[in-house]
Amino acid sequence: MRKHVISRALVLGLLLGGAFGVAGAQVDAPQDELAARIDLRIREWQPTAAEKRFDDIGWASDIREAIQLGRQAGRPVFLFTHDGRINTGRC
Amino acid sequence: MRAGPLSNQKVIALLNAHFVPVYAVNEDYRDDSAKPPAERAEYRRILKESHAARISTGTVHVYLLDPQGRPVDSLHVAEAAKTPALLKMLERAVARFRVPAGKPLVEPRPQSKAPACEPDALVLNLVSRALKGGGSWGGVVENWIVLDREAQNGFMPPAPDATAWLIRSNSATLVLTHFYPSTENNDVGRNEFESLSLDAKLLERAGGTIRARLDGKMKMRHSFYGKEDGRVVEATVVGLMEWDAKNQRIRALKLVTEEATYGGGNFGVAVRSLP
Repeated sequence: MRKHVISRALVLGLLLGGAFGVAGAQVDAPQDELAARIDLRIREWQPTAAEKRFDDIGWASDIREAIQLGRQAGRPVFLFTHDGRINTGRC
Repeated sequence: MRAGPLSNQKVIALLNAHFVPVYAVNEDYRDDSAKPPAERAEYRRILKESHAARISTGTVHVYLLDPQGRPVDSLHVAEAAKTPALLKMLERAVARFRVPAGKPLVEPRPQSKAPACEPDALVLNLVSRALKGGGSWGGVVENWIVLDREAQNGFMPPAPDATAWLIRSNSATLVLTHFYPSTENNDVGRNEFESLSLDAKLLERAGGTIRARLDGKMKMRHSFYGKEDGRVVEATVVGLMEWDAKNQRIRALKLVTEEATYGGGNFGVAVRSLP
């Protein structure tokens, strides 16, 4: 009888210990899943190469630089004036 | 313009090979702006000379200047945004000035860059992308947000053993006010929050770092144009933050929308701190 009680206690303890162990792993899993989900959205929503084609243009830093370079190289200047920030797309 | 002709390979090739391209943000050329007076004077000169030469003139325009810097042609943005019209203008100028094709005079480089800031400030990059259903200009836009020490303090746990806390409203606002898709109105000073909450919940403490989950909800009035139109942003957000308990600053911050709507469409925002 005593051996049986000990055996049942042992099984119960193992089960509980296993459950805590599993629960401990599960505490980390939701965190990892959350971090992965956030990172995926960050990655997926970044501008693509096609959306960054604006950066393939060799933009002068300001009007005076553009005019100076144009004079030196004999090139016309293309000037786009606008409201907002075309470099970020907020325009 | 940016997503249209200025992303067109033929336009890009012409600009790089035959012109010196430059863009000017009108807000930077006001009398009270930080641009040097000589730079602002050039901007005014070009508009004045264009007007005098009876060339179409306005603040949102494409201007072509000859190699001596004199305006010779222009297009209102409504026309310039049509790629065929812009190509025609550029090709006309190439033929007129007979500039042989060459390399870009300025090396192309990323135009959206992190701003300079104090060493203890936190720089955030935000991207906002239209997902479906319209309601915006579409596409993807960016913001750069700088949180100084005072703003970062709004994210700080109120006590060393805190397990949950509210992010201070004015700190949350600095980030969430940029949670809107591409619209014509980019004056965040006009945004009005009807409701805003951003909560932190402790995930773990380890080695002086406090890792917390952020959950938030917002409803913000944002008009598509400058005029009030009743449109609102509604969004739920989730994120992760690492707080450096020793140096009392944010080590890392990430925040994304779970669901976000505006003007009948859906959009997504992702924020990440730079290392």
